[in-house]
Amino acid sequence: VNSPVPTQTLPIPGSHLDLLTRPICGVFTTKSGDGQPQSSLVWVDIDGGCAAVNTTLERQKGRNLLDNHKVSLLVVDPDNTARFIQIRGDAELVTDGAVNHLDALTRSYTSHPAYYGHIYPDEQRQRETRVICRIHAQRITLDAIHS
Amino acid sequence: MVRLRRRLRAGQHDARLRQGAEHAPHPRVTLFGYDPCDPLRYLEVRGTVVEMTENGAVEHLDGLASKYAGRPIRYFGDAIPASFAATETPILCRIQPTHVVAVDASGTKKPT
Repeated sequence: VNSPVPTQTLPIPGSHLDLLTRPICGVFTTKSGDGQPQSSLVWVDIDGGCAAVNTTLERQKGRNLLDNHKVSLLVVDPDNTARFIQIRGDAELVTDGAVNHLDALTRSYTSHPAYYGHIYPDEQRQRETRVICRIHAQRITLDAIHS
Repeated sequence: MVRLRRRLRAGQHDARLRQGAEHAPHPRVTLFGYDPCDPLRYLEVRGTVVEMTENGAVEHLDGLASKYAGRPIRYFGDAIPASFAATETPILCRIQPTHVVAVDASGTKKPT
């Protein structure tokens, strides 16, 4: 997919890695071509050292990503909302293995073995283009200043 | 819950704000709220910042701090160290909604 691969990716601090590996929903923000930001809840994991989410090119966030690869991901610890990680960076979109990635997320976040046919109707699989969105971190913010 | 922090010298704020939110370079925003115990219940308000003002911003912030603390407190000095008041200027932003998404899909897809 037509997204540039950034040259620099900040590492995820080990102190907050659990927020990306535990099944915690994140708030993922993209921007449309006219500058309107849009946020949605997403399943998150780690792929090649980057935080990764999974979407389709047909959804609003997929269309936004094709226009503007700058994204933000916020994951808040549900046990302590002052503990969070916010990653701002550049999205790299990958179609190879995207359905496998989605199924792995489905197994992590739900009790279902696969996304299509369980979470979502199987016939939708042909109607949408799944992509892995790897977030190459350019800036990372941790935790609230209050406790 | 809406607050902008600005690292400008005193005096610069007034000039910037006097221009009005309609002249802000990127006035379009989104505000996303979700139930941390039940993330499939959420609210997104997309819109445009139509007013940015220092008037009442500290009182608003103290109100928010009290709400989140569950007792009457001040933001500077109680929620965060008082020294932050020297380097931060609270701004109250009013958002005119242009698109609202309200979802309650709880109970359909529970994480294990």
